[in-house]
Amino acid sequence: MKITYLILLLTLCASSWSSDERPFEVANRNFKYLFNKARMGQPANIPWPASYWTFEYDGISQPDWDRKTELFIPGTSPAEKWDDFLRLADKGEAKKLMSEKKQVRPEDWGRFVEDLEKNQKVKVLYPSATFERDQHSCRTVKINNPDDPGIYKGCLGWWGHCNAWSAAAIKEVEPRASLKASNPNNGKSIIFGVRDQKAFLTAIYMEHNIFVEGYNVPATSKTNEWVLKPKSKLAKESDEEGISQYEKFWDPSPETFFLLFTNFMGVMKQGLAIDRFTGDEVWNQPVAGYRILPIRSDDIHPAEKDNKTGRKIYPVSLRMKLFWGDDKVEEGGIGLPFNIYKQTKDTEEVEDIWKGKMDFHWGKNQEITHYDGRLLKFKLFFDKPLRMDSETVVKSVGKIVGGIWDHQENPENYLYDGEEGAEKYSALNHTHPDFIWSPIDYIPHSDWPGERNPYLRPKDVLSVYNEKKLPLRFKNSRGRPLKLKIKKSFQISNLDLFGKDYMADLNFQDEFYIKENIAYYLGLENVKAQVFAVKGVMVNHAKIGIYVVNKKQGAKALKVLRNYGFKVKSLNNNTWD
Amino acid sequence: MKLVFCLLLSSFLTGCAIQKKSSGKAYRLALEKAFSRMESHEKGRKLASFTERSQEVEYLLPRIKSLSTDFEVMVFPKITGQAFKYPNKKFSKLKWGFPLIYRFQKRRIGKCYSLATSKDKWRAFRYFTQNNFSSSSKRNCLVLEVKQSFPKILRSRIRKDDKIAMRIYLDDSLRPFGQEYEIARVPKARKNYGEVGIVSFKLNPFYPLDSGLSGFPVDLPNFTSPVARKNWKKVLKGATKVPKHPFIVSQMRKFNVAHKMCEEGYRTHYKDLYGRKVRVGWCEGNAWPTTIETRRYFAVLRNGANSL
Repeated sequence: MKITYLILLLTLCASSWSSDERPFEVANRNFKYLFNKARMGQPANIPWPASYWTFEYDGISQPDWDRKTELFIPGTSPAEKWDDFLRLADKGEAKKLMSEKKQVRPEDWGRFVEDLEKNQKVKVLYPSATFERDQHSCRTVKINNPDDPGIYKGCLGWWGHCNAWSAAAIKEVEPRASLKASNPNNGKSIIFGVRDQKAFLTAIYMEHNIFVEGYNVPATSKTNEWVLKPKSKLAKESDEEGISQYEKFWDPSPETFFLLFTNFMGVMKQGLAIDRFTGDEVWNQPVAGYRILPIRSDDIHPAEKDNKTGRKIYPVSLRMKLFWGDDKVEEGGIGLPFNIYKQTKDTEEVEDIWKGKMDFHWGKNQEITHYDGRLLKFKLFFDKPLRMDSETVVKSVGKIVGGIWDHQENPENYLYDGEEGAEKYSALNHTHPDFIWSPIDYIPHSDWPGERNPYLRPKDVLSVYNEKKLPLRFKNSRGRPLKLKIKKSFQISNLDLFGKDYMADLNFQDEFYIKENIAYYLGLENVKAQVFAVKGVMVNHAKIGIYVVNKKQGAKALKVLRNYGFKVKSLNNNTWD
Repeated sequence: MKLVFCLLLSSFLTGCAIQKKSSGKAYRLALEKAFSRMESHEKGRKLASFTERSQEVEYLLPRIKSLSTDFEVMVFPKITGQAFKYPNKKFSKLKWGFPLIYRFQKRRIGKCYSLATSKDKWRAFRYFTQNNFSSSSKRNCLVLEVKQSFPKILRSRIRKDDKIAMRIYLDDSLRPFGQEYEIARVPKARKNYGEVGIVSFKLNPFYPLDSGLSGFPVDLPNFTSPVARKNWKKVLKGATKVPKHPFIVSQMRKFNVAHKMCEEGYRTHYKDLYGRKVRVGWCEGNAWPTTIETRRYFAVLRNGANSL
């Protein structure tokens, strides 16, 4: 028995040693390795399809839509629900405000919002929803009209949170069920549906850092014949880095495209996103997978010779299907499974990974796609001939030395017949990705308030999503309430919030949040909140003062703060009141 | 009859082989670019053998041993707003993110042959094979692990797909033989619970080391390449070019890095794996590039990696 056990043990050990000794090939630029091992690839975590919360319906303050009545239901947007959840003091005003609003037809939404905003209470009661309507809405966001510089116009129909949703879909686990979240600061519990959770996760990634490959085509450069004429005036225009418009349109190159997807998604199983609109518009989508089709004998072309040097290049045609998580889905919908290996085939047909029809607020019988895709064709150039063992196994090949997109080489096969001008060339807008990017993380220390909704702090959203509760806001490292000092005076009472751990966590968003909200969230009306000083890169010290205008207000502030568990200390005599 | 058949067959096969060659302008330009690239890679002095050290780094070699002590590199990420759907004034100019500090720690250093033949938990033998380094080789090799040390990555902040660490396998000419990534497969991944995946790349030691789509400051010129050697020059001024941005200048002062810069030194530039420009500045006495600038970040050597 002992001998058998020993032999078994030795065999197991030997097998592990032998697996360590198994040679593996040089990767990352080696076409043979990458094609043979990573001809198909998908990220370890498939990104989830979701709405990208268009600016047409005010971002995440877009209300839920009743399919039976076909009307919007005021007060049901994710942003408003978040405001209800966070609100500290509420005398039923919010409920009363929204209950007076009847359901709204989608076509009347704009007028409804304008009417809503005339009520000053709305801003106080629903700050995050108000922010969305102010900053992420086609009624208010304006751009300099590229066709008529100096004339501002409203946003475009395709604007929304697609950059944020793509990043969230890659980095965060998909919400798949409702959750009941509690707020220990006010004792409330609210049920957040899948729709709400996806909206919150999307919102916190509105400012995030990315690693990007490729330059986006500027809004001033609509796709037209210049993309096929590198010496034309518009094509030659370059930016401060010296990158021409022509280069920006045609990057990333097929070589970079191939290496990025095979290395990062095929080998490393990392998530990537693309701007699938080749031209100036930005349509971000998180990539769900890719599949390179077999190399046929016709795909291996005769060598091209350089007459001066005698060098030879060996072109090979490749075809790749690329699939991405789509945004034409129900807001509260849950992503269907995606498997590049089982759900796609080695044919040029781009498979329909669940397509259907559903009634949406933007129209009846609208198309739904959980995953969409396209076929891309390109050539890679090698310095040695490609030899195949079979259509899916490379036997030998040289190094990649260049390449060209098929729609660059043979544009006539892609342009719209019978059309003129930009319309004719617009087909080229749906070819290779304008740029490819990998999300890193949301930017926690944002100094750009205005893009990300400051009322949805990433820490709070993730705490709700992961732990189903909001953090107890004012506590120290031991979980005890922060001590406050209050300096009483008839004119000003100065409440200093301090506590090492809390202070260390403060960032610019907190400053904004505190300034705009703390007075209201503490139920102190007509109180001005001000941050005195925020120092250091990581904000390791801050002093926050809340000014009250008279003794009565100061007493009220003390009472409210004590109700929330603060210990309040007077600075005047160092005793606890 | 047989001859006729053979002639027919050969003409048929020849006909199949003659495919229509592309002759468009764009195609010709792409070919010219590729030929030009092949030419530039072949120009210049080639190394006589794999074991030959390039003259450009010969003077650095005694200092490379100092990589056996830990050192730090401060990185300023470049923040782009190009994924935004609408033209955004806030992102119209280059923005710099808050600095990060990466710590490089030696995990193993020794004779390359020894690393190639002994098994250890760092798997150096997978990369430094006996084919590359014989028993008589006197070359040294090392394994460096790179991790973000500031701000400290809290486990609660780890998202799926985050790259937690990188290991690079280099010889004493700073040629890369391997690269490993530790990647979180789940949120809040814990290293010992199978929640972290390791992805290994055996690299071609004739190509530069690339940080890929990551922020690890490991973009190194490879002096095997004639291109990197061609651009490598000693300069009396501007060896280390720091971006003229008040935020960077103030942060470098704050983190006590500003004094590391030098006017006189070495610099080079080359294109990385994906065709992106990398600029490297190197002060005398440093065993690691003093500054590295890529499209993704600007990095500056902070502590360590000095001559012994």
